[in-house]
Amino acid sequence: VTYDVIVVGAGLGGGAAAASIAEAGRRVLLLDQGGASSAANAPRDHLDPPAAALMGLDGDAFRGRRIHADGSARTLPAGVGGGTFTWGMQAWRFHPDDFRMASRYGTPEGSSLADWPISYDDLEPWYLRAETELGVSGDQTPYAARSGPFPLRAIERGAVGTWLAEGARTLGWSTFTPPLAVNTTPYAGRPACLRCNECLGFTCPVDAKNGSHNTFVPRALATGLVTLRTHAQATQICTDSAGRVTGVEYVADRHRVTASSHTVVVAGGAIETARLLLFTTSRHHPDGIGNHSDNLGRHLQSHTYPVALGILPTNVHNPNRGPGVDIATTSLIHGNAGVIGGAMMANDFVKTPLTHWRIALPPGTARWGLENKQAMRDLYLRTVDVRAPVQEVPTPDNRVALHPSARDPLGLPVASLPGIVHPETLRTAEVIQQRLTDWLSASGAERTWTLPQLSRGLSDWFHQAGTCRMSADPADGVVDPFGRVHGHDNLFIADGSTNVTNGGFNPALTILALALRTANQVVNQLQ
Amino acid sequence: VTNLPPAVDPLDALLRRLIPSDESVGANELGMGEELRRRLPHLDRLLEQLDFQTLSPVEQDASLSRLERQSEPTFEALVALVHELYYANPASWQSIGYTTRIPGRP
Repeated sequence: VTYDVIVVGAGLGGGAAAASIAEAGRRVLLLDQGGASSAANAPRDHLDPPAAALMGLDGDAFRGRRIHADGSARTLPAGVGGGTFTWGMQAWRFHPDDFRMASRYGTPEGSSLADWPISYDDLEPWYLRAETELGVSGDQTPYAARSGPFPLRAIERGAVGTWLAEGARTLGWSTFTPPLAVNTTPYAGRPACLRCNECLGFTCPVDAKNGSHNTFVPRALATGLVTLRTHAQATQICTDSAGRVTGVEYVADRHRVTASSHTVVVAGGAIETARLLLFTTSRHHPDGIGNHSDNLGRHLQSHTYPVALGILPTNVHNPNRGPGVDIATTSLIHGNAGVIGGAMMANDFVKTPLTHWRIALPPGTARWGLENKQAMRDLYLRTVDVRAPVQEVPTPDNRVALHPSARDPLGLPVASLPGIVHPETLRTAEVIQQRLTDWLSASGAERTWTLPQLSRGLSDWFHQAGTCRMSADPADGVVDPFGRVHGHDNLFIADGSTNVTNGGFNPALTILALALRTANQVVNQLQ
Repeated sequence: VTNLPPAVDPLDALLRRLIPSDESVGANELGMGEELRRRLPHLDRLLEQLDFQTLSPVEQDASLSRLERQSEPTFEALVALVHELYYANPASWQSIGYTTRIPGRP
């Protein structure tokens, strides 16, 4: 069988690409190294890691492993839906200036901060389509032009949002309701959100949280043109003697399979995609396919998250209503004096009791005994958490590399993540952390504190981007402005690895918009 | 606390001090002993060290505070795990005001 397209990875980018391409009448093989689980029937245990148990790695612990320079490691689950299976569903558009960071701020020493080869205006129609096809609720995007409304009304604001709105007003900041990929009314055949308190890190008990697994992948399968293979790990991108891409080799059920296709779309996320391309070598691409300019795997970035917590005078979570994120400000997304960029700032999800005990008790609280128990009882409903994804300044040394010795069960090198966050990122994060504290104080918090440290480590589990950077000039990146690998007209990438910079926002909607745009290019090219 | 029957099992006694019973359940009432022993291989050695049965509650707390000041690794792991198991258990939720709001769930 020769497929028109093989898509590697059934997360948000891969699922969207598969649906778009199949709905254009093309035969697609969709591979995912994890399994496919039912969101509604998933276990709801509050002990960690609920997501890992759901997504079907079958205890194959090394498959998604990534190892830092200091030897610490994390293993991520995979599966149909990818991160959107249990995500926090924040579906933000980037700010127009996020696409021109070098023009606005320059390129700091040691960094690879750059402009994108496309603008917000280029992506805007795809943002709107992404919001419509995924199902995003919201009321406004005050920092950027929109060509149409959100498909779903914004989630209703609770008591915490009311307190924080007043505090922001006194600081001169405007606020609005964050865009969330959740059904605030029945949409696309699925019900409205219950406003339950088990959201981030959980599947939705009524399937009102929108992800690839309940939107794009079902759409793709409904065409009858998509073959979904789960527990299928891609082991290389196949090329012919001239170096042209001919398909994908994968292992499923202990069998090694070579599948042929006219086009390949890789959508494994910024770490796994770079890893696959790095260990796909031949005499035409001895350092990995797409690594013609030594950019493959480099510029790994995520978000540095300053967090502030505060205690309000009353029980603002009573009755607590999820998901919890119901107010944001973008007044500090850019233009913070003396630093690069900034961040969207918002309140956080309703915390499970366990998470609250772990991270949200004030400093100095006894860690055990009656005093600790009473603190949980007194403060759980009064504690507010605000946080901000500060966009990281990329560097060529922050990267995905192939580990020299650690191997996965198939004998392939696991990902190694050398590097540390650029100092300019920390300077911005410190400014934003202070402003988060200011927000809580202005909102009436009796006591505020911040989570103790801003990590300089690279993200190995959320918001990863940049490892197959988009560029107009092949010398500056891995893919062209349509996600096509430079020098390979039938190899595309449809995940966060093509992001040149990562915005001061959760990046999923941008990944989706780019994936839809890339899929459109694939379809056009196949015609 | 004083109305509770005297503890005999050393782990039970320890749990009574880590998360005591008051108007809501204590850690010793949630049947977490087996899970703790499974996850903390050095737990019994720690219990032997503490010799809890011979101490009054005040002395027990003093003994635990000493371990905390020393950052004794098994004790630190025990404190975290006991609270994780406790707050993951729906029996603890009502007392702090948490509800899932999911039909059929607490």
